[in-house]
Amino acid sequence: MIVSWIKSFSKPAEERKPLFEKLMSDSYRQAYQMAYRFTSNRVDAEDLLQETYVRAYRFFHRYDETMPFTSWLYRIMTNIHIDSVRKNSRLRTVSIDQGNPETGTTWEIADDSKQADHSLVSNSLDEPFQLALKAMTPEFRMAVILADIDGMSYEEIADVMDTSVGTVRSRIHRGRKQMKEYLQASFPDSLPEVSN
Amino acid sequence: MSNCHRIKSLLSAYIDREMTGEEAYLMREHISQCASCELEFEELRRVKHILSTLPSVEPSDDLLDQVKATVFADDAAPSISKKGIIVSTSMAAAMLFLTFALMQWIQVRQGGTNGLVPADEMVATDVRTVGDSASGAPVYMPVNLASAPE
Repeated sequence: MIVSWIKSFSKPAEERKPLFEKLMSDSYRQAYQMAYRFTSNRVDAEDLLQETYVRAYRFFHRYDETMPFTSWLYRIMTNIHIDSVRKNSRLRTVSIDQGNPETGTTWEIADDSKQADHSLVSNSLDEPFQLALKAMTPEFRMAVILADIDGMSYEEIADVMDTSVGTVRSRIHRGRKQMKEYLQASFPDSLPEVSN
Repeated sequence: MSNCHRIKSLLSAYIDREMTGEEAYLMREHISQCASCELEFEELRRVKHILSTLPSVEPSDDLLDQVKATVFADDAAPSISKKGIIVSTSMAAAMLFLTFALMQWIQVRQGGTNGLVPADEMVATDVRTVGDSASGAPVYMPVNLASAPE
């Protein structure tokens, strides 16, 4: 009886490990592309990728094998990334904007975000575009990346982001507009003509 | 043109071919006649083109091995989650306690053997105290309560 209780709380069955390992080997390069475009730097991309696979393996018993593995994986990745962005945003808001309410201390910190961004991607040929992606609203950025870099349909993106097709349409449009406006303001020569 | 605001909001869906044939036809008709919408259409098309042609970024050679090592790290040990350990330990402790209580109850029902005496038969003389010849401190000796002398 106790053995059955223990088994009910155990991690994915041993026989599922080889399957997960194969899916992981087949998908990690593509998943890394997503993680890199989401985070804009290699260190954060590797962390995001690792956390995504750890969580995916933990909940692998919930994966429906008739569905594309990458869609399920991206759903996990987008959730982790959004949580991380929100958490970092809250931390920044509390620590910089509010200061210490008990002592009345406030901090003045130089705005070096532009410099930091540049240092992260300064060796990259696609620097202007990666910076433009980084400047986008996270939800817009993820929808645009899934559509334009991974080539997903709006319906697939809606499934990954757990939202409606209408919301995806709006996010993609607003995301592209944000990117266009950023490039026009910061890198005016970076929008080449596209042949028909 | 009053229709421009709505047309512009649908430009990305038009570029992605995420609309019906009829909607796409109306969009195409409008864009061909409106310079403002045509300009925005071209700019958004460039943005999509840029993103879809970005060079792929290669992960480091050992990344897959590192991630695998982390993902499967827990498999080296018995594959039981923390929650599983807590629950199964609690269940085992509860079962041990119930077994012990049941044994005690059976023994009492069978007549108080193995040194068990009803509480009302216990008397003060059931504990003997003798002196320690080396230190002079009292030493308490265990006795069989059922056979203790009066």
